[in-house]
Amino acid sequence: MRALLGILVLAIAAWLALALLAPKGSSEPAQAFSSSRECQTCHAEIFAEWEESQHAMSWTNPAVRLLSNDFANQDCIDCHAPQPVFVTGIGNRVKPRTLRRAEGVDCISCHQLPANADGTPGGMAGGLNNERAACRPTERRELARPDHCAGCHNQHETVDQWRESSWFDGLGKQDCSDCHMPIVEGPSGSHRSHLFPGGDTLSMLQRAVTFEGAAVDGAWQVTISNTGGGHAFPTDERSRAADIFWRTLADDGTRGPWRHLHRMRSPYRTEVDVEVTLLQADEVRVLPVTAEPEGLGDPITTDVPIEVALFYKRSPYWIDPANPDPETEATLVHSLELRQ
Amino acid sequence: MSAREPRLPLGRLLVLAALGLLPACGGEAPPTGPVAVERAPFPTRPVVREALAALLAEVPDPVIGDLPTAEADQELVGEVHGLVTFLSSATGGLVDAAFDDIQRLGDPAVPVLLSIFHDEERIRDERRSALRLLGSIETPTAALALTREMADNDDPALRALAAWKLEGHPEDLAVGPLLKRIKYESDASVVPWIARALASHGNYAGVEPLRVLVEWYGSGSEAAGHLVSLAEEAGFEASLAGAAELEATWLAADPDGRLPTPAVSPRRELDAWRWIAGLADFQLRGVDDGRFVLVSYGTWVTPLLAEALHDEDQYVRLHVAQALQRRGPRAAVALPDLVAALAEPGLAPTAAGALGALGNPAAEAALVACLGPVEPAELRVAAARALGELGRESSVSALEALLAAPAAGGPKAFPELEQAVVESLVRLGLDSDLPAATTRVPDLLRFSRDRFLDATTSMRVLREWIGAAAEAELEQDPEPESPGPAVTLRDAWDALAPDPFTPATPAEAAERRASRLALVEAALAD
Repeated sequence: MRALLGILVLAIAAWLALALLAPKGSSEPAQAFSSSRECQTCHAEIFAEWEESQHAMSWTNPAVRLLSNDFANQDCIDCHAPQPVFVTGIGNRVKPRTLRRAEGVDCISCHQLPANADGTPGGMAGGLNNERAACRPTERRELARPDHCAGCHNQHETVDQWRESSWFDGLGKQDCSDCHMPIVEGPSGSHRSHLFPGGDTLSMLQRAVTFEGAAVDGAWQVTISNTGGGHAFPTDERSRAADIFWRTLADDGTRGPWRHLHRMRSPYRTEVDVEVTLLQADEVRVLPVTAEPEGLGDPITTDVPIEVALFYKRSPYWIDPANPDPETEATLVHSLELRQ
Repeated sequence: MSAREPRLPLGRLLVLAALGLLPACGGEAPPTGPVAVERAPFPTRPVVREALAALLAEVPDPVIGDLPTAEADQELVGEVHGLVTFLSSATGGLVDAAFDDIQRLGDPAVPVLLSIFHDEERIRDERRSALRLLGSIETPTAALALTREMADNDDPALRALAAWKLEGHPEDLAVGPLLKRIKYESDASVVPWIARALASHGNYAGVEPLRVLVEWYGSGSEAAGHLVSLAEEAGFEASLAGAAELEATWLAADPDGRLPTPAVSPRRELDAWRWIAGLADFQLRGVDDGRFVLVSYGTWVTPLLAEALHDEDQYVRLHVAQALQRRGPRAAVALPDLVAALAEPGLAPTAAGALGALGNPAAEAALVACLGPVEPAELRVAAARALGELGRESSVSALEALLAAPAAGGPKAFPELEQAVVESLVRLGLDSDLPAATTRVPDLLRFSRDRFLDATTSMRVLREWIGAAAEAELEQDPEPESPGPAVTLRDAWDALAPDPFTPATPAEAAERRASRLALVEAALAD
């Protein structure tokens, strides 16, 4: 009797295991997704990361709206509200979508696969295959490759800049996802971060460049090196700029006004008289500290203690161009005090 | 039955029957609801490639030759140098003699003149004389050389001089590059000369930037003088009001045929096809330039764009439809092609947007047909928005019917469609039925607060409604003792406008939006 009972229990357990673990509904098509909020149910942690990211704000960010003339510049729409990259084709230029623009560059933009031949949803690209999940993820390695990012980010030549750098084929080669989608630990396990840290993250800016000062022939000079950017610093986004300022340091601790030394930026097309001064990947730029910007005026001699600082700006303009105030209008990235 | 023959699927007929929306045959009553239509297939072909090949066979590109080095050519080189030196000091009728001589020398003189012009060792007068002489050679090669200087020279004065010499030049291949240059020209002294050169070829796209300059620098400015003379030369009153009329006539596609319409040469047409071809490029900045130029051409380009809508390249089709949308009434003849494009799923939403912008009542029925539940979601939303843009009061019933549709497949289950329908209903009611529009304002508030909807479109319509309400109030009492509630609301809303030059943070923008919505809510409560 006990043996029979045991067999019965085993049979029930086996049936339960089969019922729970066997691929279920694999012949049914994937669920159709019409909004990224539908992903939140299963992927709450990743969704929460994305919601804080620049990708999530790509349509609503007031800075973007201002710089794109509220998207009257139609060429901005294609990347700020793109159709799914897998649908348009990896490496192809993306196309603008009409719906869900407020969701910006969302889950569907990067993960949705083309529909099946019979018109049923094609599921999502992911890191593994899972026929039980509603979105039917299929492992697609392209998801983490730079070509996947290139449709948009090469509009700013970022991927090309990376391809020409030591990061592409050097000893320590790394690509987009290594820096911008690092593996992080969370309650649901390790995964690639969907915060997409970049120019909006101070630690990323700080690791992109090294900033050093030295006394040479009795005068100060600074050296800025793009040792960690992986692409130009800043990249080719015309609204971004990096500026070096300096100011005097008095013995009593007071500091003089900031004085502009050098700007790194790619100009808008309208700025015909502005040179491209991006600091390319691996580039080392040596700048004498001078009384006037861009190497003009007298060199600042080493008997004058100074502070030199690198600032990063997300808009290229100063409120008062004659008296820029980097501390309130830009982000301080590195600062050096140079004393004899 | 061939694969292309249209047929009515049973499913669609059933849907129509179920909705009771099958319209009665005949009659000219406005469409009253979503009518599903079976659209003819939308075949594509290599339109752009074929057009380029045909035109290049007809008019090969001009080629600027190399600087002559052979002994036999030195006489020519000496003669050109002599003319440059002579022109730099000549006055009166002698100047014309120099121009006649250079015209006789023709294309071989072009590289010599360019070498003098680019020689920075030479005095400025001689370099300018070289450019003036270049402008007197009435060949495509000379026009090409001038065009390049107008477009790319770093010196604003020389860009202006090149533009001046392109004014009235018999070759019109510069029109496209002139349009692109005026998009980027940041030197106020160059803009008038580009505008004049464009006008001499029957293109008045330069009037708008001139007007902007007049707004900045005043009615006594040099730009104002150019604007007034352009108006006069085009047959309008010699005044800023005449210039405004000229601009309106240009933008309305010259309905009464008042504007001069010089013939378009095959080279200008070739240039237009090249801009169209460029819409397929990877870099969107170039695409945006192309779209701008194609939007700014005269009405002659619309048939080309309508044809290019059928091109084999998906990017060309998409951006051509966007260009047609931006052309608005100046793209009227593209209506049949845009209606046909509704059958191409990737193109249909943009084609619907363009149909809304044409201002042609004939677009209404096609757009109403796109609202039906069997249509793709993107198309339904685009069509609902386009009907608001088209501005036909007769569309109200179709939009209202859609809003009242059962939840499944209707806007209530599809917030973005509901938003588009309500926004269009408000817009359509602003002129004809302001109270009805006002009843929908709470919905606009709701959409503006939904994180997953585009708040900016609802906020824009809210501002339109506020403006219309304020105008209606002032119409009733043009000189009130104190501002009425609508005017007060409008002023308070506008006072919250962000600094146009400093990007706000997302938090600041959200706070501003919340404040504006609170203002409207308070006004509605009163």
